[in-house]
Amino acid sequence: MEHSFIDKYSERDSFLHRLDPRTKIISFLGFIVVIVLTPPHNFSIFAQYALIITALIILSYIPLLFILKRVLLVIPFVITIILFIPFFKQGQTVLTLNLYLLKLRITYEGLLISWNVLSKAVYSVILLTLLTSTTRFTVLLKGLEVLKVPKALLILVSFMYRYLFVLIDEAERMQRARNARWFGGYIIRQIKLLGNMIALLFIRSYERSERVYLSMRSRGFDGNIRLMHNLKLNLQDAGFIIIILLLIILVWDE
Amino acid sequence: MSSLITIKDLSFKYPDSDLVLEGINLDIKKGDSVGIIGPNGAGKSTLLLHLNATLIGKTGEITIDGISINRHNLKTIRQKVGMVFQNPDDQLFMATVFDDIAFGLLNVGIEELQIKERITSILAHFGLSGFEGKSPHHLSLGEKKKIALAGILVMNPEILVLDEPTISLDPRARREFIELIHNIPGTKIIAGHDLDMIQKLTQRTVIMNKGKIIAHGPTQEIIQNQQLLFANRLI
Repeated sequence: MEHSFIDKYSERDSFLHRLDPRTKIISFLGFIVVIVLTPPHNFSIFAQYALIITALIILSYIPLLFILKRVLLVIPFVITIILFIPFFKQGQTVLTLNLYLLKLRITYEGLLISWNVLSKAVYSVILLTLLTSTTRFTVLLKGLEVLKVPKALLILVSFMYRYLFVLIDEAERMQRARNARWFGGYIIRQIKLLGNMIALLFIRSYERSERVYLSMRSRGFDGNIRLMHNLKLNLQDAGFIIIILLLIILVWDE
Repeated sequence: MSSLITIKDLSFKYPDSDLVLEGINLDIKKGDSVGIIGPNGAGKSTLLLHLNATLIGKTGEITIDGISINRHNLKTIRQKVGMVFQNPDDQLFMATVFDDIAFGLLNVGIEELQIKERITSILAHFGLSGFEGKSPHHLSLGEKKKIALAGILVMNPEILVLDEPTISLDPRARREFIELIHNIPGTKIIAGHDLDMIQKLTQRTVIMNKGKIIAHGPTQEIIQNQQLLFANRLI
């Protein structure tokens, strides 16, 4: 069975795909930091960021719909913040709502904070989506490794990436086996069954981890993780970083 | 010729079980291909895990190429004995084929340039050129098994240990895999209950049942002894 929803579009060939992962990690994360540090009332700067991001999306050949779907994933978390803040922040009143005994005031300062959270969250997610979907997951990990992210953390993520699909397959097989002998029943029974399946999946993963460890040891694993990479920086990478840097300086210069 | 592997009076039990291995004695000569057959739960896999010191028995002694296995020479032993596990999903734990084959080589401390050369040549030998960047979960079972074998062979072990190598392969993949193993020179120890495979790949065969060695002899003789096979749940 094939799953590839983590880095679905990473096999495409575009300018962004061809860049070294380090270039992308540094410039995208740098860009995110700059965006987060931008004062929220500078609307024109945000508009110009949007232009740069649009240009990046066009360069990446990633379908817009896919990016929007990813943005939707974080919206629920952001919504809970931006819906309540306008009512609680003290300041200049924009609008007053009368709900029987309850009198709610929306303030300008509150709205500004909401805008701040929403715009920065959306921009950041778009950039991260671009980063992860123009880079193969394994290559991304290599890039992070060269950038001195702790190896233990990376190997953990790499194991997750490797075995996530094995686990999903196992869960799907279990579900099919259940459906084949399932003739309806009360919701309580269904939940109990689900609990059993989750526990079984856990035990199987645990046992698998022991077997994996045996096979690691039998190939000389002694607790030190050793990785190798063949990443190369070239002119394109330098060019990309310089252009992003220039654009950001231009935007801020006004 | 002297023995390459000597097992003397080996017994083993897991923390929560009865004896899984009981008084195993076995001599294997250099260049021999030995089959280990037996029903499920006979202790075949447990015995194999002792050969490269993944498990170390409570009693008994295993000598490999004159070196007695103990906790201090694990690295030497594991370089001499390459172990291919039954389920390739347990063995291919790295995110790409290249990283997986490189894993053992890096642990042994081989130079990066040489690692690349070795990986390119072994993949070409297995007919899997260009698989370096692939993720194991995108491969077929036959391909996974070949990569798992490649990851061991690339370390040039003196002894190759295979646990049920042909299990759940389709006929074509099975035949190809048997041929691949057949063409590997050196000492091989192969466990399984695929009698046809054992017959094709080994000269000597050991029958195990309930943790003990029941019979040991030339493969042809053992395979033709229908009574013996039947008594040990092999037909």
